[in-house]
Amino acid sequence: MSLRDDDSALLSIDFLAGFTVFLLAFIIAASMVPGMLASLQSSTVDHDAVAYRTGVILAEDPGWWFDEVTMTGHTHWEGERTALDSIKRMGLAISKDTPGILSMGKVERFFNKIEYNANPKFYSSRLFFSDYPYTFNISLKEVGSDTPLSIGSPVPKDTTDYGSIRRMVMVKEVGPAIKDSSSFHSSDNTIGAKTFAIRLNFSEILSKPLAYRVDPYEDRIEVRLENLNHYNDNANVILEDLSLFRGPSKIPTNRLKDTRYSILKVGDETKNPEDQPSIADNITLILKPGFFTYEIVKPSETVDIKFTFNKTEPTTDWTYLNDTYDYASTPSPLTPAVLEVAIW
Amino acid sequence: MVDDSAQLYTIEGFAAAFIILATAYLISGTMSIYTPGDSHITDMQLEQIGNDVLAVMDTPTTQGGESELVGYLKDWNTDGFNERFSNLLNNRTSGKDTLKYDASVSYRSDTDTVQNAPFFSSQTRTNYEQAVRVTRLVTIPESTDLSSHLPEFEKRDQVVLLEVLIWRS
Repeated sequence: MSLRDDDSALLSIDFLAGFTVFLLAFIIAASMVPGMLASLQSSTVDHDAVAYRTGVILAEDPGWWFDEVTMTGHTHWEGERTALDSIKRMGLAISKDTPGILSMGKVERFFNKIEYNANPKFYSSRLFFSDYPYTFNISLKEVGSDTPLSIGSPVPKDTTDYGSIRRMVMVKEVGPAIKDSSSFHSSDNTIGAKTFAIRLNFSEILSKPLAYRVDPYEDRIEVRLENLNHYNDNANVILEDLSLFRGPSKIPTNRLKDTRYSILKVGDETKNPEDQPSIADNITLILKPGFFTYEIVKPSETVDIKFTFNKTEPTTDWTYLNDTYDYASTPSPLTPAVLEVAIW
Repeated sequence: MVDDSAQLYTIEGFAAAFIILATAYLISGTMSIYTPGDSHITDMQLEQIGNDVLAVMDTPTTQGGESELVGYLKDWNTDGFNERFSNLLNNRTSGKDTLKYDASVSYRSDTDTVQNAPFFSSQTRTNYEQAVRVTRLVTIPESTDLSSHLPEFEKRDQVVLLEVLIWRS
């Protein structure tokens, strides 16, 4: 019997061999593709791109705060001191509509070295949104000033070792509203407590253009009452109470007694309002950025910060400050500043 | 017995496959994909800082105020412009940069043509510089008469184009 009676099985061996060669060729060709692109890999290009993106987020984005439980979000992330996971992005601009104008409140919170050193990984994750362990240095300096703010590691000496971007921005800062107490109305000779209120009409304050208004949600609010000693009855006066009111009803918040959110100074000493401190010639109340949230006060409402003064022995008639001050402050002129981002 | 049994019919196939593979390998090894961009990073950085500086100078620092840039242009204050622009352009958080620039103004003349006039140059150009161009439209109020600096300047509320070439020296 001839071995070549028919072609059975021959075809399948040819096919097998041919297909094997094809597969081998395909695998080799496919594995060459990454090699073709290898020459395109350039770490400096990547770092420059990340630096540019980070610069844009810092200079042109107001950041984002989002609470997954209540599903609410806003751009006033700088007020968050405890639940850091709610901070999704750390942009420094005052709003999306004003790129390049930074909020001093956000700048101070961002360049806080204590917060940075406590959690550098948090900064990385909220700036680069990447698992890659970038090292960075971000600095900001007002033009004409000699003291830059900076966080991160020292910048490498060789400029080719890192990617960078330089941005020119403006910083909005709100200075203190200084008031002489003699310009206010005083109560006549009566017995008992006197109240002084700082009134914040949010809808009126927020009606000004973004770059030129004091945003109570965003900016530091500082009121300094001076010359309290011009009252003859200035001895033995104490601050009996300091509370936040919406109309006649008290807002239940302890932020006026929490130094993370507000500072009360009598003379130049920081005091706790709960200790009912005795009053000197001047009082300063500082509400830090992030003191007000939408839960405490809505943008359409008006709130009063009420100081209640009394005598240590409230038995005699006395005359003292008893008025309402409509807070109306304008920010200081915008100051140019240079922002530099270096990444490696 | 001589026949084709057990002969590898595909030996030519193997030979051809290896030739194709070798060719493909050689071709892919010599191929490179051109991507524009690498050399443009530095240009992008210059453009960014240039645009930022013009934007900062054109933002009034107080509500309702006039921007610095409008002030320098309408008073034709080239020295003031140079001092401020150079300072902002070269400002760094530590140290100074060495950027130079050449600014010019394009405007509409009273014969309805667009004309261009030099504003200020911080260094004479040799035309070898790797310069980038940034621009800003600036509103000049009607009361301004710039005809002594800008020939045939039409005296009305007008928007002029400030064009700045920036390079590293």
